[in-house]
Amino acid sequence: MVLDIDRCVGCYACTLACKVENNTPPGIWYAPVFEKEVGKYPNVKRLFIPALCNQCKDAPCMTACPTGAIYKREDGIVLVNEDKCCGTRACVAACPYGAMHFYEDEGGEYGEQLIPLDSLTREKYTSGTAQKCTFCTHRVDQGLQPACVETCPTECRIFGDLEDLDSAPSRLIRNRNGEQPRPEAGTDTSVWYVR
Amino acid sequence: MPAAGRDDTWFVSTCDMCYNACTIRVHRVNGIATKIEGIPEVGPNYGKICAKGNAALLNAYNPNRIAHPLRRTNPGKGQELDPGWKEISWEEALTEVAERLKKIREEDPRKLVVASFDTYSFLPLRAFVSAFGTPNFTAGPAGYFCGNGVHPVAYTVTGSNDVHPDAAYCRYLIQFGSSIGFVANSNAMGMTLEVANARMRGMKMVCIDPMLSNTAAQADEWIPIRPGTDAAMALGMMNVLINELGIFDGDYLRRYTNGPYLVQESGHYVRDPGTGKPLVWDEHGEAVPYDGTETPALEGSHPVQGGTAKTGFQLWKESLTRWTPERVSEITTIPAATVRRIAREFGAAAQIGSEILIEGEKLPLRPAAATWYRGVGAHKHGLLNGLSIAFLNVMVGAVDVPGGLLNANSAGPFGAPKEGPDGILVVGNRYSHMRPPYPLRKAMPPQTLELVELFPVSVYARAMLWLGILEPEKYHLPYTPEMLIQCRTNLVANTADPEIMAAALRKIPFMVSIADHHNETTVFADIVLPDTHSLERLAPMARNPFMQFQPIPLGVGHAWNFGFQQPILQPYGSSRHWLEVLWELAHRMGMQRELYAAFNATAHLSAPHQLDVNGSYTWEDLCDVWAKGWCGPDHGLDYFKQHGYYEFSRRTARETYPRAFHRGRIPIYLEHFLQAGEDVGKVTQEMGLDWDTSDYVPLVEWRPCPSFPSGPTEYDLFAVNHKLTFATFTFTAENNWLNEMAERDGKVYNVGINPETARRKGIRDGEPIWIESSSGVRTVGIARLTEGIHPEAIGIPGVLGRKLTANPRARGQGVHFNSLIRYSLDQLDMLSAALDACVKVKISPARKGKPKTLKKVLGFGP
Repeated sequence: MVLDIDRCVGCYACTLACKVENNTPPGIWYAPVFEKEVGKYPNVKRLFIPALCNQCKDAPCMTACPTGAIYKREDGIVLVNEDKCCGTRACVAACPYGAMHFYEDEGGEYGEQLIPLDSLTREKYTSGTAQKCTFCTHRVDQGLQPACVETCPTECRIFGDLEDLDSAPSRLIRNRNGEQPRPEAGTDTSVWYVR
Repeated sequence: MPAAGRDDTWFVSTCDMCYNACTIRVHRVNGIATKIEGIPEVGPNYGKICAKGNAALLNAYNPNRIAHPLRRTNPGKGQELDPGWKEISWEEALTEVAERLKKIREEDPRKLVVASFDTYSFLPLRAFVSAFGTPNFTAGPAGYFCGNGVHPVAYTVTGSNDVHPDAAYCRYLIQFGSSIGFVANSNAMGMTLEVANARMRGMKMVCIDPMLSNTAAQADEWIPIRPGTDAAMALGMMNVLINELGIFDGDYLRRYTNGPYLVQESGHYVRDPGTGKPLVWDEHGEAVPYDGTETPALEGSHPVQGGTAKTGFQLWKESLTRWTPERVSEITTIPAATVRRIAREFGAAAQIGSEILIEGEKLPLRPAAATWYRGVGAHKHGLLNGLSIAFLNVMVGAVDVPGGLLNANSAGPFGAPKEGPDGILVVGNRYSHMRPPYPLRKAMPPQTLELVELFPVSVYARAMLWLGILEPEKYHLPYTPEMLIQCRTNLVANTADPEIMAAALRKIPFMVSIADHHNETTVFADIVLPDTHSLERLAPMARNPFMQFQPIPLGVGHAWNFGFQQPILQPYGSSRHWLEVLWELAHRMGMQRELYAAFNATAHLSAPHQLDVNGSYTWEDLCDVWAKGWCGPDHGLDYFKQHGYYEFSRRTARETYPRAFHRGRIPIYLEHFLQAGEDVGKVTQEMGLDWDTSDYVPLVEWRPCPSFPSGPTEYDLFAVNHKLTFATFTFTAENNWLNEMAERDGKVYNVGINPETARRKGIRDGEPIWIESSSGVRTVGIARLTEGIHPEAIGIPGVLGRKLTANPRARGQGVHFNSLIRYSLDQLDMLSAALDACVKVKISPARKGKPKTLKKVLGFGP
């Protein structure tokens, strides 16, 4: 995926679309948007930086997991197998991007007063396990775009196959000097940024 | 209706989280709505929905919703008083409300006030109030908040309620405090994509704003400006363009404006003695009626009727000389060189003289536009401010042509703008339901509580409603209100000055709130009826691009798209769709004949698809008749239940760019303002009112807000209110996903201050501060130091600092900006009834003597 930060308007549509699509537990957001103010008045800019799991080719979370609960699909998407996760949180500490989350059931979106959507979260997630963005594999496998991509009003999230040199994201990386987040971490991410 | 038992179904409906009416589909699994998303191939939003739209489910499942009708047991009304709600049956509630309505209607129907900002329901609602016989319908919270300085101006230049830039062709966009293309304004999703695409294509965007908004953040250039002075910048730019550079679109001004009309010394047009038509100076050196020549003189002073008369444009040109960049710089704090440079860039970008071929039509291409909204309009002289920005577009010929500023829906399958009295542009959209500012309405003693009769060039005067309620004698109103029905509005929190609002609400003897959660307004109700969420209601034509200006197709080839809201979920508790409740009340009162007739008239229905006044119709029947009446016999309720939306036709080039296809002229010389001022002056004098009519000037100018610094003052800062992309009015505070966004964002629940200002005041980042307005309102906020704000301003976002909300998580978070606004005639735009949001404040550290909690300490109870 390529994130075009020139397009992003910092509206959080992606953040919420992901929340609802994946029924993530209270307080867990797979697709946040960060912001940075640079410069001095009046020559100042604000940068909006949409994010998600970078689906690293060399994923520190995978290496750190003592039980082998984290695995990579053939297409490069990194996933957690909840059944094997025993909750050490080594992956949470290992991720340089803060993209690994730990779910402990502490009530629903409105606290103790549970609503129907809370039951969907409980069905989907096991308390005491690590959770992360899945690139919406359940959608991608059906030929759909990830929820964050589909909803983005500026189309700043561009999804496709990076192995295919002619795909939209590959072309963007080439034409606009794409950068990987924190390259010094040596993770070789599958998410790139252009500006 | 939702099935019990197992199901797995997608429904097409219309989003309800703001007024843009995006097309959505909703996934229901086993009776639970699990997901909302857009439909990529269907407009007006093409698969995109914003944070609010994505999060809408949580408002439906909000556990703090009202489940059953309630009656107050405590007669005392106030923010701090517990109403002592007691659950009652629908039958008991409706019987009482219907009896009271019937009695009021027999006595004097004007005693009923209905307030709602459910824009999706405006047409049936208007039919109800019209059948009842009350002129007192208000869109409530949008009082001073909304488009007072936008809609009358948009009607003046395009004949539409609203305007937007043509992002498809625009190359240079100046946003005066607006956020168009940044999840705001009409067709927010469509426009956000178009503006992003335009920026990527190389459109330059300049943002003139006291705050480094999300819009300014992505602009090529942010130009900080002193609040309330945008019009001076626009006038300065026009002065540079016309008088220094000689850049203006003469052909456009000659053909499409009243610039060539000859004006006598009195300020009125020189008229043909026979026909009464305004005269122009023709190519043969003779004065002829305005429609007697294609090439009238645009400039100059001409001998006519025994004297000399200048053209409107000549007067305009001379009047602009006052606004030198140097003077503009003193007013706005923008350097004079920047005023000149931006003017030059804008003028060059307009490419005056260029043409483009679209759908076989040869059209002028003017790829430059300047936009504005509430930031420019919510001021003491808001209407003049809005006109100044609009006329900047007019001068370079960039209104209703490719690349410029476009009408929302002035032209379409429903009609087109046309020539009215004196050749001036009038509305041609037969479904338009607002009061247009032209032809001039005759000022008269008020009949409406909002005193709109005293605002003949406004589209509404909602801000006045509360003054009308509080002082009916002062305004010579022949009645006092007896009952308020209020739905989907939070009047107290969303409008200015909660104390005034509370006093007005207490003064109305009986109040019914139809609401899905409790808030600062419902606490004043006598009876509360539970309203459905939009996922639980059948709302016909909820997306109505003929009437509403928000969900419009943005350009050539996009469809005029109608949509219903469908009942996808079982209603919460015993809640009912509030319009169905009004429908039932009308029947209980025996008012159905009048209701049916009013509905036919309001919706412009004719046989065979109209209501028979002798018939009897359910809500579903009405939905069916209306849909068929507008979308054809094959597109009734069943069609919409199955498909959810209907694409009427594709917007054509003529509908998108109507300027070259009608003769209605834009009045850049506002001659009718003179008459309006005289009329209002006479009426108010007879009424014994001290009423300022000095803004009725034929040539637009910048006038200082009362808060504009005239000398040293301890109230040395402007409090500026700014938008949040993930909040609408107050109801989004019931949604914990959106609340969490506000908490995580880090900029929402605090007050933006320039570090240099903070240093002077001894204020540190993250610490509590006192904010005290010049009118004596004192509140507490948390300082957030940011380089992205003018040093003379502090930034307070959204409608926060909530006093009463059903959701404890949002209570007391942030600062309630509206509490700082003073509600009085000297703060009111006497043309548009906008209330001035330019608030002067002083700030100081609250480290000493800070309250125990950081919640707002302002009390606005009894």
